[in-house]
Amino acid sequence: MATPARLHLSFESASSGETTLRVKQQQPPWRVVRGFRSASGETLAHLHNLSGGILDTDNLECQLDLASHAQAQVTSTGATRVYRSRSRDRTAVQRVSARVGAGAYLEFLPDQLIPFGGARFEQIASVDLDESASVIWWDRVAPGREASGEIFRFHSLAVSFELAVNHQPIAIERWTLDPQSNQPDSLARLGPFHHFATCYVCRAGEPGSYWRNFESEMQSLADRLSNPEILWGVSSLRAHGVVIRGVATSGRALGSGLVEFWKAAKWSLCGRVATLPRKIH
Amino acid sequence: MQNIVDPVEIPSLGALLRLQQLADSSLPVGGAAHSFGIESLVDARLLSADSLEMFLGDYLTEAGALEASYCISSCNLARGSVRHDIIPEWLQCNTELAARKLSRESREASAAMGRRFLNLSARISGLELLLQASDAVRESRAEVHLAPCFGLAAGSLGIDARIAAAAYLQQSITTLLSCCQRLLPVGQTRAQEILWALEPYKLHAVERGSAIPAARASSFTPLVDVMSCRHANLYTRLFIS
Repeated sequence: MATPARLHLSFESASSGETTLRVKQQQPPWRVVRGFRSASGETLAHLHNLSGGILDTDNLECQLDLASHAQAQVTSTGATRVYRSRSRDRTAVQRVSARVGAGAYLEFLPDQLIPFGGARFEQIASVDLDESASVIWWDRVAPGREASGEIFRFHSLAVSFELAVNHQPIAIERWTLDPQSNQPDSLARLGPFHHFATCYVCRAGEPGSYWRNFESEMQSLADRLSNPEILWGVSSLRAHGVVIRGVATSGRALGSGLVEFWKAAKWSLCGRVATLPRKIH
Repeated sequence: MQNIVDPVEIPSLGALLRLQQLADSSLPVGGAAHSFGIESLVDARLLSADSLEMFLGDYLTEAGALEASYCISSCNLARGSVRHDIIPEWLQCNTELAARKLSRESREASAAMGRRFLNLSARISGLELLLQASDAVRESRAEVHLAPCFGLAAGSLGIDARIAAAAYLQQSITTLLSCCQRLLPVGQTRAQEILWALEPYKLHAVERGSAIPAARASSFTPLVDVMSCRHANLYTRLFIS
């Protein structure tokens, strides 16, 4: 395994109320140019991967630290492409860890992950929230380069995600998709759908009743957005948040649905209008 | 699909009989009231009688292996215990499993069944570890789940962890199949055929569940999770989850 290429971003809350981005460490292929002020008040950072995608020897680490009351929005500059692995012992790894301080707010809105045919990839993410900290965190996975007929042709995709409040787990996902040995189109996995997404909306300390109402509100939206080509479901977590999950036959429908949920959830959670990161305009 | 090749520790006849009682799908812990998202799959016309066997086989490979791993780790915890201080570790194992169950209805179903199973097994067996666990759960109002509760009870009886997990999976898949019989045109004979045919999947799930620590066990069931989340909004429901 190669030495990790590290990116360490620190979002600090200034006395003016604005959030300052400090790039504490960045090693190629990571690149962050600077922080931008988003219309809804967060400091926006784009994560660039100068390689254009993830290579089979990549070992990438990204650390996000949000100080108390900092407001950050983090996104990518485009889809995360994972290139073909040349041998069984070459699995690309990307680790993202986020520490969200008391009263801080983080939006982590990357573009979709596209594992190319023959790719081997492991994605590990962990988020820890302090008291009253909030997060909206989504993840979207495509089956491959669909336009060229490459659907579930990668070797393996392993994902681990842990969301904790004061070090106690509230949501854990750990799965491996190995299309050669476990058929993705099984009804126990994805059935007729090729794309899938997960979005977590959390604020540490809100009571269960708050999240049950939140779940109801978002489920109404889920019902409106669902049809035979795309299905959405919303559920309260064991504490402090909800999860929104979607499966779809088309990546476009899934992406636009996620944005609808993000807008509704952000308004409901903090009374702010969600503005798309400007690369999308 | 491979069978387990490592030898398992054969329990005494008495322990085996007790395990059989606890693993009976008719044990009154509420299993018959929950479909864990399957009712929504049927309602959406995604799951049919024809695809049921394959669905349950893959469900065992994914969700079954996850549940088996927590059953095995709890069983090993109980078998290795000579003190009562395993309870905090066991409760943390339940917290972790709760975090892995993203769908509220399925999580609440598993928790309701776990609590009932623990109280029932503690009461009928009088085993000290189970009584302590039951008291600890009552006092702390902690959420406990069926798989770790089953593992704890089996371990308290000195049952080998893989035998415990196999019995647990047999119980849970039999209960699910019974739910499916109420949702789909599946007769008694066909249900028994399916249950018989699923044997390699159960063994494979036990093998997967015992191969790595529970915290690292993998499960990929996004469609079932989405359907479980949507279950609360079904127009007509036979099941609570």
